[in-house]
Amino acid sequence: MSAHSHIELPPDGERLDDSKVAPIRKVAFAIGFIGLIASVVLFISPLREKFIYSWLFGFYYFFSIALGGLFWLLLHHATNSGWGIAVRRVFENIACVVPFMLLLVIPILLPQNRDALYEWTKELTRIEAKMHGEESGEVQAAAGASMGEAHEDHSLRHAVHLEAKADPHLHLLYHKYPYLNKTFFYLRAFGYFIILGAIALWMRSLSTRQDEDGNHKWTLRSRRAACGFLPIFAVGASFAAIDFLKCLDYAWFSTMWGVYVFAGSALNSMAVAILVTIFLQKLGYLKVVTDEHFHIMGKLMFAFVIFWAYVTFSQYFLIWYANVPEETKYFITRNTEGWHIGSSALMWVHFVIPFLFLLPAWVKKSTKYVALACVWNLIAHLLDHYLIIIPERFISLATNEEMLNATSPSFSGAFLLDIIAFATVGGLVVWYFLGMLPKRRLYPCRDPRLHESIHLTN
Amino acid sequence: MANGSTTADEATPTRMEREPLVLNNRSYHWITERICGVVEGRQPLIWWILFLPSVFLMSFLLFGLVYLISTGVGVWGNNHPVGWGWAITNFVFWIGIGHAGTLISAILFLTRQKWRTSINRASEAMTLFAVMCAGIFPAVHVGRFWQVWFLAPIPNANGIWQNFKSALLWDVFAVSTYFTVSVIFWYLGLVPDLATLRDRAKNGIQKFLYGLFALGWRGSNRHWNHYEMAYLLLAALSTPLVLSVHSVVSFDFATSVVPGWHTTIFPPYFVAGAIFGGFAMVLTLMIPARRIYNLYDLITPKHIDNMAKIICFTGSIVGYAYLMELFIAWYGGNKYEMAAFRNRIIDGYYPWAYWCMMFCNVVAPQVFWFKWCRHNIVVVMCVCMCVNIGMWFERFVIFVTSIAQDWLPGAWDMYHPTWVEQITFAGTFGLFLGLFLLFIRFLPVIAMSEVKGVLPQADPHYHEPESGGNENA
Repeated sequence: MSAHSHIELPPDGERLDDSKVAPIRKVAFAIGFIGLIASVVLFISPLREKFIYSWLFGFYYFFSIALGGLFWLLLHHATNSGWGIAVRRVFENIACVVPFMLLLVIPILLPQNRDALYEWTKELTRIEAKMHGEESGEVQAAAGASMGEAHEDHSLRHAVHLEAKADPHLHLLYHKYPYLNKTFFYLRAFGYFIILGAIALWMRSLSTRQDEDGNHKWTLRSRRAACGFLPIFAVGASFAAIDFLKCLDYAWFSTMWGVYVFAGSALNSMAVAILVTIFLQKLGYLKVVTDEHFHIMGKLMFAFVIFWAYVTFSQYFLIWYANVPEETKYFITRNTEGWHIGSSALMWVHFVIPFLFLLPAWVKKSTKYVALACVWNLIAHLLDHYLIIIPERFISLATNEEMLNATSPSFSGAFLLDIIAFATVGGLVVWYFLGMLPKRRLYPCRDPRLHESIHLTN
Repeated sequence: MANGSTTADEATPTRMEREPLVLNNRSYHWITERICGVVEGRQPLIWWILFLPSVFLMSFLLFGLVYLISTGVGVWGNNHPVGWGWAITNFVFWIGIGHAGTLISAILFLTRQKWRTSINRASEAMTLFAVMCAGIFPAVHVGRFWQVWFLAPIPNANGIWQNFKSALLWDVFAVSTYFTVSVIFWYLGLVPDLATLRDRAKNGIQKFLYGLFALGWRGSNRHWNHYEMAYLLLAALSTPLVLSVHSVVSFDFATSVVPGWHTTIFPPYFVAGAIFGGFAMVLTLMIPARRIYNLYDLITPKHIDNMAKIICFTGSIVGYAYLMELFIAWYGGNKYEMAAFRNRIIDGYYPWAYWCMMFCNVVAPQVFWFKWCRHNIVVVMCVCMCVNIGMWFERFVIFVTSIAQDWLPGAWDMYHPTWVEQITFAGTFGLFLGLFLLFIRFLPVIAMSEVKGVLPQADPHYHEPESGGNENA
């Protein structure tokens, strides 16, 4: 089994030469840095409210890809797979973008931005202000800060209850208060990045430690850890999607939501991993990766193209068929006015075209064609996330007058803001990601299953 | 060892071996003898001890159906709010069982999971029998059984067409397609093994029948070439069917606006549940078969371990769906939805059924996190039994509790199955087991040609070990 294949490999693995990626890194940094300055300016300008939607779009696009990397990494370990050892470090590095996203989520968590995005926090802030106004009117000094959040939350909930009596629309806010309150929201928001980020870093550290000593115990430990982490990932990824995306309209709900966002993230993370692998090969590295690996990765991407379509169709179809107003509102927004073009295109762009294109085996084995499919999928993912987030902007921010006079349900010129935010987040993520690559070996050079991976046939 | 080396083999200091798929370094000959022996030899006493009661139980089914059709659906316990009682529960239960077979034969084939070869044949057979059991219930539930052909999309009389907007009709298409493709797939896989049985048959009738169904298979290169292409194509065709059948079954409920039924996660959740229940049933059948026919070297602890892991994984997905349903029922803020779930879990007619389901499907499989449990046959069997029971209760909980207490409190009514339903359901187990036992009796229970294909000897680069033993043995 062994004698017929000779891939020349350095005994101590491969390390990426910093200088080879330096130019791209510089460009990415320049884009990110200029974008960051532009973003800061925009955040203090009157465009702030509109821009934060763009930021969420850029942020979640890249965050979803990083989360997908973590999924593939955990799955690979948990299933004791051998095929992907040669490309596993790529997934490890993609997953390790998760902790970096903690910095990029900050603008979303800032109170005034948060309130522009999420109507539920806006309402809570308004009720809170009203409550404090009344309190100070009664000269109830705000002493006893040590009573803490619990006391405040309780009274705020009560205030929401009173408001809901006057305005029945707020009933849901009162009902959802145990989940949708600011304290819990922040706890969750930080929790996602800290816990999932720690998992990503931990998994990579187990892997790099094996690079040093080649001990099997790291493989076994990674497998055990990955099995334990998978349920945490499932909960984290689902609720992150609920908190950041679904809560754009806090009245809307769908049990499929977590699965839907996850499907897109796993699909596109695989696309990014393939592109990164091809990129490193073009630089002269990762000779351990053969067309068999591209075939498998292409097949997994293909499988997730189908899975995404299945989940998306099921969600759409069940809501359309049952026709319950509370649920259809999400799709009515996206299927009317100008948005219907995007929604209809999504079916073709995200499913039909990549499905047909990726069907033949030779496409998946050819780096050129598979790269094309990956870029295509990443563009489709853009459209998908754009349609999740941006249609909510006009609904939430437009004044009555703007609503009445609008020819299309979006702010003219806001598209530019979306590009700025996307480029900023993208530039910073790419800069950070390329910075991580040279610091570690490019593949787990002493993994006991590396041999199996190199001699892969499928 | 790694010093100064330049090849991939040497750059990695050590290797981690995979467990062998067939134990004790068995030869092709041994495999043929052992598996054909099950068909050719006399059946052990235990086969008769199982078969005769199965036939007896099957007669219950026959009686139940004749009584139902000759008298009317009123002999069942269906009442006004619960128009679908055990019939739909049993239908979905059996259809769910029928998912593991195609999953093992198609999806695990496409993902190159070689361990599937020892269990795929039996689980595909199980799939077919389970789908047969499932098909009985909607067919006889229509009331006028002799008009069941109205379900076929032909303008039967006066230009009456089916209601194409009804998920129930899609079920007819989905299930019949699934059954057809599963039969073809199963039969295709059988062809080389039938030829083996034909060549070994001593009796003229056997030789004729096995030869007839072996379709003139001679094992030539050309035959294998076509066979493998056809197998791959059928695997690719079956894969979406695994997803579609149970998704369509879930549409029966999820497209409605009944609280507790209408939830968007139903399709993937039903599919995961079906795989979960199906694997439990595969183990329930294969563990005794392994013991009775001494197939320990072919169905190894590794196979059981893998299936236990899949049960744990899919059980956890099902758990995720249960909890997500509960969360969104609350989060959605719809009072009818909340009431439906409250009825299910606290103060409805059947909370015991909910907690039974929760324990059997979510809690019990968690023991498979521990290797010791996955390797202990008694524990594995107990958990599989739990899952078999739990998956039946899952359907019961979803279907019956949601409609027993529906919109109008004045119409609420408890549903009780009558003795006719009970014996009919028991009878389907007789049918299922009886057919499975006949399958073991007349057809190779393990796909010989496929198992041989994953042996180390099948590798063109295989070297006979000098010491006379497989390195893994």
